[in-house]
Amino acid sequence: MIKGIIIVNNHGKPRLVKFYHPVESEQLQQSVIRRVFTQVSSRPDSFCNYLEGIVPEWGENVKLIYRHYATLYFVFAVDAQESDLGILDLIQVFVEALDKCFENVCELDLIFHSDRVHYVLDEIVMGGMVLETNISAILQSIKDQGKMATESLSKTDDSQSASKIREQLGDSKWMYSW
Amino acid sequence: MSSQARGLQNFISDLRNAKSKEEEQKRVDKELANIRKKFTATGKQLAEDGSNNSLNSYSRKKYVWKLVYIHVLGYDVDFGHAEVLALVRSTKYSEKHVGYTALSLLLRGDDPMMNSILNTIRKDLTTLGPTSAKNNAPTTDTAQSLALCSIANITGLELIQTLHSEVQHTLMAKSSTPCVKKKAALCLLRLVRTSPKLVSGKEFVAQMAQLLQDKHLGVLTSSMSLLYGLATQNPSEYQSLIPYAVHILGLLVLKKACAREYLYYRTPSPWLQIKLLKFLQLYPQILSTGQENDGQDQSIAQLVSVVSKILTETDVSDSINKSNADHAVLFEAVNLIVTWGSSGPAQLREGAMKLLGKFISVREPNIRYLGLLTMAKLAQLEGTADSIKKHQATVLVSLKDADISVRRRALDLLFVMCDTDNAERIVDELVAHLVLADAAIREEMVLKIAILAEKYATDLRWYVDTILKLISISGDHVSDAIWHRVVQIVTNHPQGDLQAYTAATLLVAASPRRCHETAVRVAAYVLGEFGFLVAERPGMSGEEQFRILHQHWATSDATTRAILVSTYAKLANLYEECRPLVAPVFARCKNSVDVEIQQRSAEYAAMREAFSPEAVEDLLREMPPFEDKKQSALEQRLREKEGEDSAAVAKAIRPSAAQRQRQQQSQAAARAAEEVAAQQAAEQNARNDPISPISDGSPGAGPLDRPTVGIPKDVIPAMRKAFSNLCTSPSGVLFENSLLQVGVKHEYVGAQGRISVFFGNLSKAPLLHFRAVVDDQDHLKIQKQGTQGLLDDSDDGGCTVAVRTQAKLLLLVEVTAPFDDAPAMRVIFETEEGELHEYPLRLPIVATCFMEPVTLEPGAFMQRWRSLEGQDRECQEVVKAPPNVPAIDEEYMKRIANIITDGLKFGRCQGCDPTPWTVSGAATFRTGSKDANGNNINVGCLVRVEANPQAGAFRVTTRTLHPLCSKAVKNVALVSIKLA
Repeated sequence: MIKGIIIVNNHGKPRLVKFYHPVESEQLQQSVIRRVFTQVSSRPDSFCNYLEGIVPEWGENVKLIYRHYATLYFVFAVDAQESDLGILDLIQVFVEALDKCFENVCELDLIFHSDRVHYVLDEIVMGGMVLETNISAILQSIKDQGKMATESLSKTDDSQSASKIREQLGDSKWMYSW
Repeated sequence: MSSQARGLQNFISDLRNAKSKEEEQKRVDKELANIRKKFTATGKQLAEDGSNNSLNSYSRKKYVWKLVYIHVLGYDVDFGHAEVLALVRSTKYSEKHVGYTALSLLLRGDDPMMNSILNTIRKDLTTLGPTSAKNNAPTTDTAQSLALCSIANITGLELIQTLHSEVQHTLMAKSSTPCVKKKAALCLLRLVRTSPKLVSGKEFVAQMAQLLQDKHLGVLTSSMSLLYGLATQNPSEYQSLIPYAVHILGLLVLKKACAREYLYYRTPSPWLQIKLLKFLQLYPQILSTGQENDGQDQSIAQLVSVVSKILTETDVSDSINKSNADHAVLFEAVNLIVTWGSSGPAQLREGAMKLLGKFISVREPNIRYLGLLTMAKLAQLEGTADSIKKHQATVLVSLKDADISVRRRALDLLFVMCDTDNAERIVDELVAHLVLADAAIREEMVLKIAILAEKYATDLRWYVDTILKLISISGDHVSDAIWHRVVQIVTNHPQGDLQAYTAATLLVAASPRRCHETAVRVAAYVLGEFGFLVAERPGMSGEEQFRILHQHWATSDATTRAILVSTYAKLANLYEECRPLVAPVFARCKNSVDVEIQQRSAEYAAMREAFSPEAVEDLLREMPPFEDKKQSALEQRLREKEGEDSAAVAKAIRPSAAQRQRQQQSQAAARAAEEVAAQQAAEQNARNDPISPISDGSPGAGPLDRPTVGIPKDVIPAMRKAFSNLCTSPSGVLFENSLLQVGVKHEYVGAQGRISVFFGNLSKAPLLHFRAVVDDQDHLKIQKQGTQGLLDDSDDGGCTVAVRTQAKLLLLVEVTAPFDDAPAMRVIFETEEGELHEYPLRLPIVATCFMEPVTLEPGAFMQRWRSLEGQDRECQEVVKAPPNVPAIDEEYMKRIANIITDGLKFGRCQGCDPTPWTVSGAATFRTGSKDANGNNINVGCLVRVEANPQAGAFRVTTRTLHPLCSKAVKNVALVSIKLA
């Protein structure tokens, strides 16, 4: 399972932190982030994307799998059950989803729209498990959420029928034929 | 984003503009105070749930988001939960959404509102809300999704676990949309991970099959995650689902049937493929067992073709992402081949080997890393060693890679592929590389080199040299376990000149003024033990040895000094000329601040006056060989570092050919030594063994000028057996030869016993001057009655025992103190020819005769067992099962239990024996003595027999309040087990 996800910039400022394997206090969480950052940031990009650094808070045998995009490190901490390359792919999916969502995502988007980043991540990883990898499905969910949110904000607009939303949430769309 | 509040944006901007941590802290504190104020409405009533109902939706969301943001920054947020809950309860989607997100981030398990949160979640999960989104209310599936998401994200909480049946229901419900199903599957997995018993495989397997037929790839991926999680916990229950998994895999790989959206860089859903392959890895036996089942045959054939297609068709592509995805699947396929082992098709194994060989030489670091990782797994299979060895040079290149992750993998692979043929080369390479290696990897390297050198040393001198090199290159990383192991191995291999070689080498190593402290420690210990072997060599005399060791004294720490002190004592004992050198050191150390050093030197200094020279010799003798433990401390360390299932650990546990050979040698040597010792012991035993049938018969009053006939040698084995039997049975024959038979009947009540001894004349002539002399004992009050004259211990005394008649002796005894031997009885008589016979016998009155069984509760037993731990209260000895016993089985253990209960008169404590391989018992040793209060003095005794069926041995441990009792019970138990 995925023990935790940390997005941290080149200077060690965390931009998104998600612990699926609970780490008790804020203090410990901060020390995990620092530890992860110092280990990852000292590696040039020509090195492989795996690091068997030990993060004691998550127990031994935790592998850090990370990718470095411009100013940000995307670090996933996983145990032995996950596929090493699969997680790299997943990071790519996450980044592509963010990219589509924000149109050329940059660090500032993550800072000012942390809510949306969380929503996107929740559509991809749930409780440490891979939920969805289909980028269009992820984006659709986000769009629907946004739509529903705006609708519920504007008091007047209740003409929208649920069936329409359901259609947009769309189960029929991704059916495939055997 | 329009839904985001202006105030939040401003707050974040403020924080970003903060110039220092203090400034940020100040801003956060101000905001927290503000939010707290808003939440505790001034002058107005709070709502029932503790939230402030005067807040409007917009500001509530805004403040909750601010709390979340502050939390993510690392500040403690311990209020506002009521507001979060109010958002969750809301019927508006936007509020619910914010509420749930905040919930999963801020919630702690001990939250007092847990119950009410739970009810809200349950409601969202089960109530069928409006199907149309009137009044902005969220539709059922969105509410369900949110609820599921938060269940999965708030983890490890007992209360949340109670929701599993609702989740399971949601997962299977026809009305659930794919989106909800996906989430429900993962949510259930999350719950099952924390408490595995929530889902029973037998019932769930049918539902799982239904899920696997879903047409939605997203649902399938989640379901496979769930299935994989469940099957890891209990593989056999989900075995029937293999055909489904193979079918899906076939569609994805062979037919490329995949919805366009699920193609990831043109690869059909790699995640689903990975999950399927991982699931199949749980069943390493399917290829060999599949034949029995016709239904599975087909799917297995399909599986093999799928795997070979993955193997042959994967190419390195230009796009790194495409290549990643393809290789992810490929590596899982190789892992699957590894789990099949030799039951899998050979050409698949070869194909995998070839691919891996290619991977470990590519430049792309990820693929190389994974290639090395996977090859180490493959290397565990039989028959792969030769093909892997071809890549040795390539792997050595990776050992010098700049990237530590790659280096670690290379080291691991080298470790796994090492065997007797290439050990020297690999170890030498590793040692050479150790000089350049950075600190992060050194400890691991040192440990692995030490294990390899020990495992594959055909010449143990090479092993010693290697460890010495390790100490000189990287002494700080040579743990105590490693040098202790050197001592152990050198001590246990007296053959050849290993001990002398080690002593000489270490002396040279310790000669320079500067050398690593660990080297000083090993040298000190080894020279203390084996220094005498080289003392004749030039420059290595005892004095020289002392001088070389002592030059390090000033720079040594307390541990090293303690070892040095012991070594000095040994040197002083051996070489006269060392004594004046050592004495001042001891004198100074008597005032050492370190207790250990102080005690050692004081004791060593006083030893010569306090004990006889022989005792001193004995004390300072070489250490006996170490017990050969199955698992060395080094393997233990490796296991701690790498976990149970790593390839390296599996490798370390398997003994190598060299190790086996060494073991055989030392076993043979041990056997030879044992035989010699046994011979000596047999003679010794006859005199010294406290529970031997023969007492150390001093001729006593017997006339010295007349030849005396003793116990004939050939009856001794039979006597030994008879005596041991009698210790645990009420009557029997103690001694028998052609002239005389001595029978014994004995019974005991508490501290008192009644022993009848019968002397029967078996010869054809009367036995004259027949006397039985029982010496008085300190620990027994004995009253004797016997046939007229029998007890008269003068030369002319004694009775005459006519042909075919008996003389009788009745003893009434009362025990007054613990003891561990058996009273001696000399039987003296003359034959008609005037031949004087004197048999020094022992009566089978042993400590266990006075036992009274005690039945103890397991708890009480364990408590007493622990409280009696300690050196003089415990006795322990290992005994081999008699050679005629075929195997130690449960039947045999029943006999052992009977010995303890009937023979030793112990009460069995069943509750303490979870397996049939132990027997525990308790008893009281009764004495007739009174304590100050006039109560009889009793001694509580505990015994435990542990069997090791593989080794054919038993370990007997006794713990009692009195050292003699412990010893006595152990001795009786040992001889009884030997006879069982």
